[in-house]
Amino acid sequence: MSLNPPRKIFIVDDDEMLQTALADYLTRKTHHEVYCFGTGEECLNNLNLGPDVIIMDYYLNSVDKDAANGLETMEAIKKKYHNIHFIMLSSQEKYGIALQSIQKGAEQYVIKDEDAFEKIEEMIEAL
Amino acid sequence: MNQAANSEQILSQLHSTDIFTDIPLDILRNNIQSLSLLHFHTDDEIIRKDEIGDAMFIILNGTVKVHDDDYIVATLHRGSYFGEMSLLHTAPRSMSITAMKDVDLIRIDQDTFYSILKDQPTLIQKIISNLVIRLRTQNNVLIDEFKSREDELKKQVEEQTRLYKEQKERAEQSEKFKQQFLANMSHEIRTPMNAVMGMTNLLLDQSPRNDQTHYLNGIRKSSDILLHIINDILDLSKIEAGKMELEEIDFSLSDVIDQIQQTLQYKAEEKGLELRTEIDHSIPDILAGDPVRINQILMNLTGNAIKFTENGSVLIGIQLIEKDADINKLCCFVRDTGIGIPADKLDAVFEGFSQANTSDTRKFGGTGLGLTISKQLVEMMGGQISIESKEALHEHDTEHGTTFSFCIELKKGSQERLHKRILSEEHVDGHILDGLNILIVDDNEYNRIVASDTLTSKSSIAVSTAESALQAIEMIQQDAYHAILMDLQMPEMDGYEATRYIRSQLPSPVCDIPIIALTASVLKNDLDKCLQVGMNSFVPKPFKASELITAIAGVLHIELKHVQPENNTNATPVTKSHLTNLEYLNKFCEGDKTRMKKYIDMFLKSVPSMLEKISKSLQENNFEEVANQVHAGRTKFVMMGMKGSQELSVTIEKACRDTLMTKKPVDLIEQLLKEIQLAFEELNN
Repeated sequence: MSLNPPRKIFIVDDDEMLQTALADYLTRKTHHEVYCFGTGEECLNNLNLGPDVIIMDYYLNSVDKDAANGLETMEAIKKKYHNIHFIMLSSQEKYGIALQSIQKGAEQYVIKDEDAFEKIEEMIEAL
Repeated sequence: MNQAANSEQILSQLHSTDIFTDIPLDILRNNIQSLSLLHFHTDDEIIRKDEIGDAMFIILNGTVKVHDDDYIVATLHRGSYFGEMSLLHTAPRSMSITAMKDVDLIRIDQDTFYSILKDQPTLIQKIISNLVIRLRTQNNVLIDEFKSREDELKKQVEEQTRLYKEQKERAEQSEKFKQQFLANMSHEIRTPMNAVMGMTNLLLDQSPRNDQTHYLNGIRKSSDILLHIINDILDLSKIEAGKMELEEIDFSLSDVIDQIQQTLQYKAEEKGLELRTEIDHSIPDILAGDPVRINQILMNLTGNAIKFTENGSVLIGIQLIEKDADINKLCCFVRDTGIGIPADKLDAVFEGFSQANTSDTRKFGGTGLGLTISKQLVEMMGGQISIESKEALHEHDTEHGTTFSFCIELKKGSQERLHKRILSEEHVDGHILDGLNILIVDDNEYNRIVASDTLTSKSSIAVSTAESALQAIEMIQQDAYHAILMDLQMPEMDGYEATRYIRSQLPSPVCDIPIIALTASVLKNDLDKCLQVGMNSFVPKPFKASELITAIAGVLHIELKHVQPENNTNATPVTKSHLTNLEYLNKFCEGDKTRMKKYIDMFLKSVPSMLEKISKSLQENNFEEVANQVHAGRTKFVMMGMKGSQELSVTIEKACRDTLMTKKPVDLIEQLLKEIQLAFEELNN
């Protein structure tokens, strides 16, 4: 168990399975508070909870075309809250996406594979 | 000048000169009323031709020279005479007479002179013969002078010719050096670049950690940029040497534009610019031309536009101007809302190594060769680049920007040929080389590793390496190889020499071994030379795996096979027992059956809508949506241990998003649907 003070973590992903599994994993492995949202809009509406870390799906609008994508949501949040850490999640290994995410303010870029949860945990503890 | 007092003395002196000596002194005395003796000191100017008038002068003592500014026409001694009737008649106007030593002259006016000559045939004869001698002398002097001038001129011409020859030789030599330098540069830079890029790719293939992948991708991207700059420089020299050749192959115009937009989108967004494209829908998508060069031109123009624009947008537009059965005339333009180019600098922007302002280079970077190359490429395609620009006059002036445009004619292409070409370039099956034994010869260790690992990663091929041509020659005499991949530039013995040696000195069948040049050179001369010395083929560095495989298959007459993702259908037969594997979920839930059930239920609940959405998109031929749905399902496949479906979903997504792949993997999608359905049934039990 980490000695870090508890943090508020947002998981923003429209994939229910991933949302639940990651939340499940982080809650068990760490002592942080985890909140899940299925859309960027929902996340924006709950920023008053004061998240320390937001784990954001890059293809946030893969199901609902009109919803904001991960990058747009991150940009909108970063404009107001500079101190929130972002971890961008993507299932694609593309340098362009990684570069774009990092350029727009994400600290980390994680590919959704079998080790993804473990990596996210390490990153949160290292922040 | 001194007036002589004693006229009788002067008279006797006159009488003692050659011409008058035969004339009785009385005649002289009777005829000459007034005699004036003139005395001049050395270097005194005695008289100019135009001042002579009708007088005659007889030299009593000393020597005079008759000359113009440059040279002496005649030297006259005691007893000689000169005056209007003598040699001075023909002499140039500027001629003058100067004393060489102290000189005494007698001046006689012409009438007096003639009256003395009257009834004196001997004297006249003497004068005439004197005159002839003098004319002859003068003539000789002139001839000598002419000759010496002619010689001098000849020498000057010879000297000039020699200098010209020397300069010409020097220029030719330096052109040769330049070519050689470029060839060397191209080798020297490409060799390490090849190693950097090849090894980066090899590392990327070995599933590095996430952070390592980012760094490696960064290296790959930077190498690409560096290679781009090098290629710019080499391209320009190739164009200048008339060695650039355009291809005519089938390509998709929208792909060219998409690629430009994809590549430059980040750059534009980074500066808060909008990058838009406007492509005339009536343009046939498949055209025949040189897509690499068209991409290069538009990329240069668009990249520049983004570089020099601070606010607003950059627009890439292509319009169809004329169209008949075969030919499409396109007008392409790139318009920005940038700082504009001053009218007096418009012509200069196309000159090599130039940016409108020299301080711009530091600010905007780049080689400054992009526009020059673009201009030349457009001209090679039969078009002309034109430029229109309005400079911002003041801070709030919004009516500014630059438009580059050009028109080119392109033939209509064939979709079928394009598809074939892409398959042959991208999806060559390496396993056609299985069982072959190949020798790689390169003095650079890294290049040996790259070539060898590239081949062994794609096929079950046996690779041996040699670090010098001599070692290679020894090796091929001991063991049998199917082919040699040979670097061209190596110390001691280079690839050309080695090939010549193998072809001419070794016994059959070793002498006939196929040799493929691995060359960093892109100069046509070098490539021609490869074939001349007896090499069978060449692969330019940095090479792609498919190029190596194609070249080896080519020299060994092995038929190429293409890996078609569509064919994978039959590779993984759908069997019930292998579809799901709950090991991962079990581990994830730490054996907690309730939690496991929660996830399984979640999966089961999601399946019907997932199947429905994918089938619907498939029916509507909306492959982008298929890609999105398949993508969204991937975490579920991971959680349910559906490894086969997970991999299948990656292949499907890639194929659906690949705009070049016109035939979409319908059967793969159907297989995935079947697998999901079966997994559903499996877990439901």
